[in-house]
Order: sequence, then C-alpha cells, then structure tokens
Amino acid sequence: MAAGPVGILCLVLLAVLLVHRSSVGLDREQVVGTYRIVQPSLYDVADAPATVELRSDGRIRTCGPQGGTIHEGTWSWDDTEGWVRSDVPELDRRIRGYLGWTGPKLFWRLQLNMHDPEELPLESNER
Amino acid sequence: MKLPAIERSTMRNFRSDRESLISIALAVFLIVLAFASGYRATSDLTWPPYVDFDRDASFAQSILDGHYGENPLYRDEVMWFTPLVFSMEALAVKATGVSIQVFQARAGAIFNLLIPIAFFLMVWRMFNPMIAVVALWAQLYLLPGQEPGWAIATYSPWLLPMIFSQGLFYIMVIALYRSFRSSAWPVWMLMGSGAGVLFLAHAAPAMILVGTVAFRLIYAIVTAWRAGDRAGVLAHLKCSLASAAAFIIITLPLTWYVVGHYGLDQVNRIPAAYTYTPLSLRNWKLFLFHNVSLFNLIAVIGVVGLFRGKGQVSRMLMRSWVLLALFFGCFTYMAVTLGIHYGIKLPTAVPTFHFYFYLKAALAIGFAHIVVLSVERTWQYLKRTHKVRDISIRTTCTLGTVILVQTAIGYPAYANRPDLVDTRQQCMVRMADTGATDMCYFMRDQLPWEAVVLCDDELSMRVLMASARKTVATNASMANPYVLPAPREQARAGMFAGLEAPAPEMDSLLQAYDVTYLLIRRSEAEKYPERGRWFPHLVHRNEGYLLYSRN
Repeated sequence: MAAGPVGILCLVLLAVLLVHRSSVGLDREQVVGTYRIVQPSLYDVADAPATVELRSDGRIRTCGPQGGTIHEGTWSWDDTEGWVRSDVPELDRRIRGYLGWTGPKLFWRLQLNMHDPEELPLESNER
Repeated sequence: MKLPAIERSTMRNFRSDRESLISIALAVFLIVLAFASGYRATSDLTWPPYVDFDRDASFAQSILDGHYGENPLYRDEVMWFTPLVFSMEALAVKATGVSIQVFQARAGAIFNLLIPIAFFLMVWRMFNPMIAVVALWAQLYLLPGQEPGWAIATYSPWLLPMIFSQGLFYIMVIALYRSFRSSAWPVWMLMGSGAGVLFLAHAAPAMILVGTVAFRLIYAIVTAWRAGDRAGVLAHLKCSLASAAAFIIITLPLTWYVVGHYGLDQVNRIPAAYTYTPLSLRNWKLFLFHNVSLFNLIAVIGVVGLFRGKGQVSRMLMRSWVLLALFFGCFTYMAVTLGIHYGIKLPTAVPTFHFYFYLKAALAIGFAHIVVLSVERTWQYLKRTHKVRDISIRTTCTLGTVILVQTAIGYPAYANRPDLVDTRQQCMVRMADTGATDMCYFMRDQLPWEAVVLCDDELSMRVLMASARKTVATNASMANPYVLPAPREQARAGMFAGLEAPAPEMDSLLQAYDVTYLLIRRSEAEKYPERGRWFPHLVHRNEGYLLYSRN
C-alpha cells in the first residue's frame, strides 16, 4: 500500500468508480419478478408478506405465507428515485431497490410509516 | 514489566510519516465517499424531511424577523431551544439570500463533514493514526446499518442539531484531552466556554462533557486535599470557578430564557419522553435486530478493554464518556417510566436515544482497538518479532487493504442506505405538497409576527411552524416544554367545536388566545358551518389550503 502519487491516484480512481457505480439506477425490467421476503432469525415479522409479485403487465400482488392475497393493484417503477410506486397506499413507496455488485437489490420496508426505516431484503425466486 | 498488548498498541503513539500519510489518505477516501452519497441524496432538495427542521426554521425565522428570544409558535412565551444551529441557519440565509428550507435540506452534507473529520482527529490525538482510521471506517461504514442518522453517531447529511453537535463534541474531547492535567485557570475557562458553545448546539453531548470536566476537577481537588496540597486545592478551585463562570456566561443566550424565565420547570414532559422505537423495552427484539452483530460484539469487548489502564488520559476520558452516557441514558429512561406509570416527577432534559447515540461512537473506537490489536498480535505471531516499526507497517497495510476491500464491496449498499433514500423520500413527499409550501411562505411574508393562526395539530407542524407565526396549540412533542400543553389543546378543541356548531364560549376562547386567523384544508371547507361567523374573510387560498381572518 503506497501513500505516494500512484497510491493516491488509485484511491481517486476507486472513489470515482464507486460513486459512479452506486448512482446507476435500476430500470423497470430489472425489477420485474417474484420475490420472497427473507425473514431475519432474531426478529419475527409476522405482518410482512411472504412473497411479492411485480408482474411485467404492471400488476403487483403481495401474498401471505399460505399464498392468500394481501394486497393487489398496479405498480410503476420510479427509476429516478428507485422506488416502486403503486395505486395501493399500503404498497406505495414500500419497496426500494438499487444496483448492487451482483445485480438488483430490493428491500421491503416493514412499516408503512417512512419514519421507521427497518426493512427486509427481497430475494428473487427466479435465481 | 511486560505490558499487555492492548496497552502497548494504544500507548505507542509513534508512527512513521508514511503510516500517517496512509492513514490520512484512507481517511480522506472514506470521508469523500461518505460525502458523495450524502451530497447525492440532498443536493436537489428544497424542503427538509422532518418536523424538527420546521421547529428550527421557526426559530431561525424569528431571528430574521428581529424577534430572537421570543417563542415563534406561542404568543407571549419565550425561546426554549438550543440556538446554535438555527442561528447559523439565520446567518446563512441573511448572508446568501437562500431560503431557510433549501439551506436546511442541502447544507448538512457539507456542515456535517465536521463529524468524521473531528472524530478522526480525536481518535488520532487520543490513540494513534491506525486506530483513528479504523474507528473512522467503523463510524462511517459499519455502524449505520438500517438505523437513522439521528439515532447513531455517524456522518449523515441532515442538518439536525443532534447530528451537527457531534462534531463539536469531538473537538471538545480533543481540547479536554490536551488540558486534562492542566491547573491553569485560563485553560479551564476556555474549556468552560467550549462546553457552553456545545450546550448551545445540543444539551446531550454538553451533559457528557460537563460531567467529565466536573469529575476531573473534583477529583483533582480531592486528591490535592488528601495530599495536604493547599496550593493545588486553591488552583483547581480557581479552575472550577473559571470553567463554571465561562459556561454560564456563554450559555446565556439560552439559559436567560429557560432558567431566567421558566426556572427550568419542564411542565410539558412529552418531548423528553420520546423514546426511539428500538430502545423501548417492549421493542427489545427490534433492538436485537439492529444490534446483534459481530461488529457490536467486538466493539463491546473493545470498550471494556478501554476501561483498563490507570492514569492514561485517553482511557479516563473514554471511561467517563461511556459511563456518563450510560448513566444519563438509564436515568432518563427511568425518569420517563416512573413519570408515566407512577406520576413521579424526576428531572429530564433530552430523550434517551441521544445517549445511545454517543455510546455508538464509543463502540466504533472500541472496535478499532480490538481490530488493530488483533492484526498486530497476528503479525507478531507470524513474524516472531516485537519490532514496533515492522509490525506497525504490516498492520497498516493489512488494515488498509481490508478497509478498501470492504468499503468497495459495501459502498452501493451504503450509498443507498435508508438514512439517505427513505429520508429523501420524506422530503419528496413534502416537496410535492406545493400548497403547503405556498401557504407557509404566504403566512411568513404577509401575516404580522404576532398573528395567531388556529389550525389542527398536523397543519401546525406541516404548514404553519416553518412560517414562525403563532398558533393555539401544536403537537406536544414539538412544543415548548415549559408550557403546559393540555390547556392549549383543550382551547383549540373548543374553538374547532365552535366552528362546527354554535358555542357560547367561542368568543372568549378566541380572545384569550388572540386568535386572528384560521387555517384549514380545502377538503374541510364544508365541515365548519360556523366558520363564516368567526372568520368571515378569505385571505389566501391555493389547491390544498384555505386561510381566513377574523377582521
């Protein structure tokens, strides 16, 4: 690890790469899919849906553990802000995403209220 | 005598220029990346996210309107909130002409850079550059997780007093570290002045700092007394007096009002009773959700390790910092619980989470100690050597690589963490309510300072508060803690009842609170058939809101 000019240049280039990479947004096609919510081991989230479907026809559906529909409506992808927008208030701005190193990363916020930031990762069923 | 490795690692402040340069380069790299994410989240915002900002804006507006010291929300009441940040906002608005809200939404990304810079310098000064850069990495990239920036000690781009004051706290810890063993009264007078400025920024870090200064000076006096050192006793008494006097004088812009006018009698205990959700006992699982991690395990062991080592100023400061934060946090929680369940009234100042905040900062330092120590010990074992320079270069290179790799892998998640993207969305939601913004600015620009606007709880916070015009009652959690909320809330309820149906006490209620305006939503226009009798004149309307006047 050199602290000389080459080392500094490498740090600058790495910083530029990271800033650029982190600001690349997802597009709608990358978000379409069926996801399951990954439950944490220490925190039981009973009221979170088990699966979320973001269909290519613009329909969104959340289902409970037994497969029953919890909410259903239409969705769109706010590609500037990286949020799922929906005509269902319980689903509007509830799912967000960004492009990670290994592909899209989506998250389900536990509370409807945006003041509580806790969220769980959504894992694609297609992978 | 062979010292334990943790002692050696922290006692040894020698580092070559090259290692210092590597630490500085890494620190700049980490800080620039943190800033880039904060700047991206805030650079185009025109309204800040929380009602706390509207409270600050109301006080800043009171300065711009030439009414510093008055309560912008309640007529005939006085100022009650720590004034440093809102005074800075007023000054910036005066100097640049930018709106308060734009400044609040965007300036935090820059002003809060003081936090990581001061934190890095503090840990460097107290320990060494490698511990400093690892602690900075932990503070910026490992601590945050999903918790909001106002709940944990990290860099966050939101210009809230509780976040901004963190940087001042670290600067004051550096100053205290330098003056710890001094018995010169001018030095302690400066410490008292600095603590006063910190208090004007936020009470919680000032309580930890003042407690540490008090412990130090009392300890020095008792030690000198026991040794029969009369000169030492007198010198430290003089230091105590100089420090206390400076603190009292510097804090007068606030204490003049809250002590002089209110006698510190917090009759509205709701603001201090606010509990950050993961810190309430019934949400213990949520606390575990945020805190059960390898990072925290290592950090707690590191903090306990920092408690060892008699006579080292850095360790005494860390002990005092951690123990006072624990004490104040537990005491506040107990006071709130006893107050709610048993009606026992113990003094409270600020909510519990402010001390959780500073414990998190200590965890970053504890984590850094353990990590640096572990890598040093590993290299000592592998190379079978105790040569300080050789081990320290290898440690620096190893940790530098780990920091770079982890930061590179984790940066997309960091730059899109909830503290940035969720909070930004709250700004977007508020910005989309253009009617609220228009009405707020109309009231600020067109209504006289003493105008009292009758409106409900939500409108008082969302629309009225930032205009710095008065109301009958606002949400008690954001209201003056020295004014009883219940009579005002009852009066407001009575007035709204009088708008729905004839009420004999309506006139006297309106007069008692000098109400001159009524603010309602357009959707509520038909809800108040008596409105025309009491507020006949439409003053301003837009797509969302209606403002009426009595005359």
